[in-house]
Amino acid sequence: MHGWSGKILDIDLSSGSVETRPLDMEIARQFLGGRGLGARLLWDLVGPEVEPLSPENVLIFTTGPITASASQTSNRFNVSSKSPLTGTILHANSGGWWGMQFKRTGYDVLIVRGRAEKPVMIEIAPEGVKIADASHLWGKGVFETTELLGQNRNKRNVMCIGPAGENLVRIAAIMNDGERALARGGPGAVMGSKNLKAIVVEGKEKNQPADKDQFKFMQYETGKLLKASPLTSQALPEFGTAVVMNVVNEIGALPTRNFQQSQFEHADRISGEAITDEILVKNQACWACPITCTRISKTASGNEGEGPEFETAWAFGAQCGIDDLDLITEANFLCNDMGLDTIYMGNTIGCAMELAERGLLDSDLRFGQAEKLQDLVRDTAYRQGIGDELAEGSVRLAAKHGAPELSMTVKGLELPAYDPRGMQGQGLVYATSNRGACHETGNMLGPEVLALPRLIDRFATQGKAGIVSVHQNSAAVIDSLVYCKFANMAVAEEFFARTLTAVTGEPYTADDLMKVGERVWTLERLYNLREGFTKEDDTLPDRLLNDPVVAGPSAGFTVNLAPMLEEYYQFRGWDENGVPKEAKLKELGLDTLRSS
Amino acid sequence: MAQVKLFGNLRQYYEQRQLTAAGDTIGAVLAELCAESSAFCAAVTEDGALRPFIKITVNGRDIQLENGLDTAVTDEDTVAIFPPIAGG
Repeated sequence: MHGWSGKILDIDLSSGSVETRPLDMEIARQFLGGRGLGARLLWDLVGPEVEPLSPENVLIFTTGPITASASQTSNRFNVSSKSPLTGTILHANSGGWWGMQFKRTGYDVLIVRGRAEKPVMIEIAPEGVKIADASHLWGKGVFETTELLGQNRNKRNVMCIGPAGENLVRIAAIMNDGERALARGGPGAVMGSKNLKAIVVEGKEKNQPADKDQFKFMQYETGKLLKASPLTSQALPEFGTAVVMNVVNEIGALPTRNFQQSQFEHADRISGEAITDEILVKNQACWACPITCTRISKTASGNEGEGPEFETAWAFGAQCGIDDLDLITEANFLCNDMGLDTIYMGNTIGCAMELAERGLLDSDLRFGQAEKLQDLVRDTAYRQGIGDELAEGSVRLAAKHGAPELSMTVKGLELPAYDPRGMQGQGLVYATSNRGACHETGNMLGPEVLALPRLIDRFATQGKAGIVSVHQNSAAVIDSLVYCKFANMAVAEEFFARTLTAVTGEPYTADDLMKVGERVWTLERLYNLREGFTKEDDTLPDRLLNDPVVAGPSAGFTVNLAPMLEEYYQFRGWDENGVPKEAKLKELGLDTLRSS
Repeated sequence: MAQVKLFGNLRQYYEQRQLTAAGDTIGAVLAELCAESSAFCAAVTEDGALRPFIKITVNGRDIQLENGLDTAVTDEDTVAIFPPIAGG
């Protein structure tokens, strides 16, 4: 294979059928792979009539054309579905080894449909594809399941759900290689609804570049850039992703106690520096990645595992008013074993803490109670006690207790670790993200805080729409190739295009890639419009729009969303209601989808 | 004197994470810190200018959007100095 194998593995768990179908190569060239290809296939397979947890929903696992090529960070893969948490399009991607190994089985895509009558697992190996009984694994945690199924990093890789997915917790993650997560939007619940416990892959095929010499040259050039950049060669390896904790706090954009404040007085205790000083055992890298940003940490009780990343340290930390790094890390490990999205989990616990402090939730839960984190995580995974309410997401939780405004969500997805009142562009990213509030779909941390590629005024609104759109398109194509966004901190899209050309033998420029990104973004928008979402959903929690930050460097600011949104629709070629105009759809080759 | 906070690997050059400095501009504050540690100076500056990706804020405001090394500093201010950082 040169980029694409051209094969889709299509499994229906209701009938037990296993089919190999050809991948439409015209679609592959237009959407590349990963998130883009997943969105395009989902458009045809899952319409508005489909309930997310019904057998009619599908899980679409997609690799990209560079996956398993050994280009730096070419380990990532994607899952697409309809979200049981939000009802929007769901896309989530993960690193590790599983994506590389699945590509080596000789397929670009795995589609899983239907629902098995009893717990099953899928095994894809050179000897063939089989659906096997997994009753003996049902109820087991991710760590034990992964070990029992013979995880072996470079040979045999396990993806599975934990108790949270089995119990249809709406924010359940799918875990691969033990501790990597396809998390946001609740794909683990979709997998659980299909009675599918695990997917194990072993492969022997290779993604060999069409132009080996050019590919080797691009590997060399990419390696040089990653080594030369202090961001990818020093900052991330030395302190991990949580090294941004202190800077985000220092500028007054670290959401604290359910976004009641934008600075946490103990941020340093949960920062990348603290992780390195206190609990770090060693760094770890995903397959074919020289950055090594993963933390392997050890807690006081002797537990060892991956994490915490920045988002996790924030979610269980500042968001909950907690500064106990050891217990935050334990909660992280438990989420991994239960198969839970840590951003969601911490954000929703923070919401519950505020509800309880205001007397709206009958509980003695309070901000700062680190000792309760593990019980709350476990209770959520098993839907016990208050955990049964947490398992439904903060939108449903806050509404049930009469305070919907206390849910810090957009389109039903929990906000991550940036208070947009101190980063106006990030507010626009959250409001317009197709899968709900998300930083990974166009993170403005670079231009608004880190001066990457250059610094812009984080409080300004004029002109932000264009910058946000370009970042969103870039993120969409990186998620489709699939590369790691951290590589993009040192390596520009032009280099990705040249590597893609070397792998596939088909000419791509940076402009071509950005056009793919815009196509993917717009298709996701069409999907949500078809599901009934409107301009009214492109908004933020009331607190961020109407309650100025009380103290610190962002004091006095709310998010001035309306003018940014108006400018955004214009920049994207959408009408005043946020609907892509016909001319834009034609330009992107999406006009036939609109009319179908 | 202004409070000066150091982050990331810049903390290795001083015994304390939080220092004080009497300079009335960022340039003067840096000169004071450089006088104490040449290694710190080499990590943060090159030929009298800040190295790429070194971030300095005064009360949370990035000096790039103020007056750079000429940004004024008073005794009530908090200066934060970050090495190259990435993540999120």
